[in-house]
Amino acid sequence: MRQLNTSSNTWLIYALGGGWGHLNRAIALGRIASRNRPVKILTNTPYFGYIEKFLPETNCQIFAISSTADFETTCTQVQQILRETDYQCLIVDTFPRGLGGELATILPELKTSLRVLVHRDINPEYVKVKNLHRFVADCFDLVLIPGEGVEVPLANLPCVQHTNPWLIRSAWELPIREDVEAILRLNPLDRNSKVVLVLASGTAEELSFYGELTSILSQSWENVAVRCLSGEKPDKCPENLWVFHWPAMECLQVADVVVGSGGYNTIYECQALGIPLVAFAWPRLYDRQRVRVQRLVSSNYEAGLAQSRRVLADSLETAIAAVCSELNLPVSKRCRPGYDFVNGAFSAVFAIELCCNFTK
Amino acid sequence: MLIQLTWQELESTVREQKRVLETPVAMGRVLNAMPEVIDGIPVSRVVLNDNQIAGYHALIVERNGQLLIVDQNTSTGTLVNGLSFPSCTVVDSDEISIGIYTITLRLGANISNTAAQGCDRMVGFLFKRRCGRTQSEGCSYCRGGQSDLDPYLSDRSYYRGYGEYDDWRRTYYYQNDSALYNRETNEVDFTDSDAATFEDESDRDFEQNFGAS
Repeated sequence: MRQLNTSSNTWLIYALGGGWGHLNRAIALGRIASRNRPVKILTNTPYFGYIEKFLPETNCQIFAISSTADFETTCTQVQQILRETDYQCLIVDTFPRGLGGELATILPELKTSLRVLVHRDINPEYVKVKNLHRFVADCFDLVLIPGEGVEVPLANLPCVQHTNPWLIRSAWELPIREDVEAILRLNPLDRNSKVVLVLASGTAEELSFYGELTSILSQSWENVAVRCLSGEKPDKCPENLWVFHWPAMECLQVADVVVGSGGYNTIYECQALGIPLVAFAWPRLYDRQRVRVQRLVSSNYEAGLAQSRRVLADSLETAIAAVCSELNLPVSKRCRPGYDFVNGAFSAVFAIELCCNFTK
Repeated sequence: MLIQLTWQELESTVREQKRVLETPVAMGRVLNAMPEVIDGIPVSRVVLNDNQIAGYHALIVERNGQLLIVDQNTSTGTLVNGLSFPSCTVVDSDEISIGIYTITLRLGANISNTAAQGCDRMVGFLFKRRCGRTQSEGCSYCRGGQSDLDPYLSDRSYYRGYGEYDDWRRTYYYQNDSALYNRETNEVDFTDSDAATFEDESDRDFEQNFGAS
């Protein structure tokens, strides 16, 4: 660990990457950390515009690089921000060398006393090709694995600490049911109807797929309310079924079944709340959605857990069949929202604080 | 895992059937009796027309790197090399008997189906390699399947100054007309096949896209 004379106690979180996951995870950590220090988050997600108005409550300063900026521009902006910002601790989400490899050359020269890697599961081929074991061991003081288990690449490094999954909301922060019903435009007088929530995100094709699925599901049963939650209305999704709300986790508690991806937020938010999830494992260059879903299906099965079931679907037909199966389960076997989950972001902040104190 | 199943189809005349399939593979008499998906993985289904065969008779599946054939509790059973097992591992060249059918299993390099392995044409200017395309549409080498000529039959036809020799050599390099180089500039571009030879497939996409996740 480097002993540097920096007057700042700021934490800077590098959270570049498409989709919601990197930014949501950064905010989950940042909003807790920001109670005791300034927190700055660097992002380039195209979804930033959707949630900008919600961000003041997170108390984090956001550096938003345009998602449409070209490769060189993004590299230059990232390097400029990292060089010119004064911070005590640099926290890099998922990509130790930077998403474009832009951190690889500047990490050694950065004036920060602590470097932390947030190790969401990544493609082992990427780890091998870029020799990440050596790079991370040399360049990072602490590796935090936020709920992804011990079988992910890099988990064998000595500086690894595991936490529970980082969640954008803790149990006591979740809104009451009436508020969620208002958000989702559900009839509060009809609580006998079951609710299916489709969390749509990803590529245009994936969004369109979710839109079609929403439409089919809504026509499949009476007394089942279907809502599609996404930043923009997917093609083929009926207008009256589409809702946008951030963070989506606040809406999950009313759902009898969630349909979504095998991405980090969807999986762990459903797990925390005990909501059955029908998951599509979409192919990603770095993230291993299929592995994440299968790992948790397997661990729940081994633990004999009836709660937070996950079903891996691969087509409209299998998803509809799985949703039907979940909805037909007797009430006693159905998962009910639980509120005793632990938000791993707290212990992550604590772990980083300990390291920061050690470097002083 | 890719496997090849070969058997004799008993119609009016004996006809060899050869299928290259991705596991899991279900075999039976009735298509709809066999599962379409197992553990989220699409199932390849083979229909065998014989009354001794159950609607869903047997499943070939990969477990821990090994191939396993599992009989689906049928009355006539599934035989591997003449012996009946509820389930057993199978290897290359094993003969699986189901009803009147004897099916030969081939694995890995022993799979002969050209459709699965792609075109055998050797392509590439600097480095010869198998074409490997599974369809000829849009292929510049065989010109969409219209030509059997190898455009790189004489690599030397790409040398600068080619065709400017004396009469004896001009005769020798008769392949000039089939060459694909730029005759105006005498420049030779790498082909996509050459590029593929250099390409480290595992490295090609990482750290190239700021929209990835």
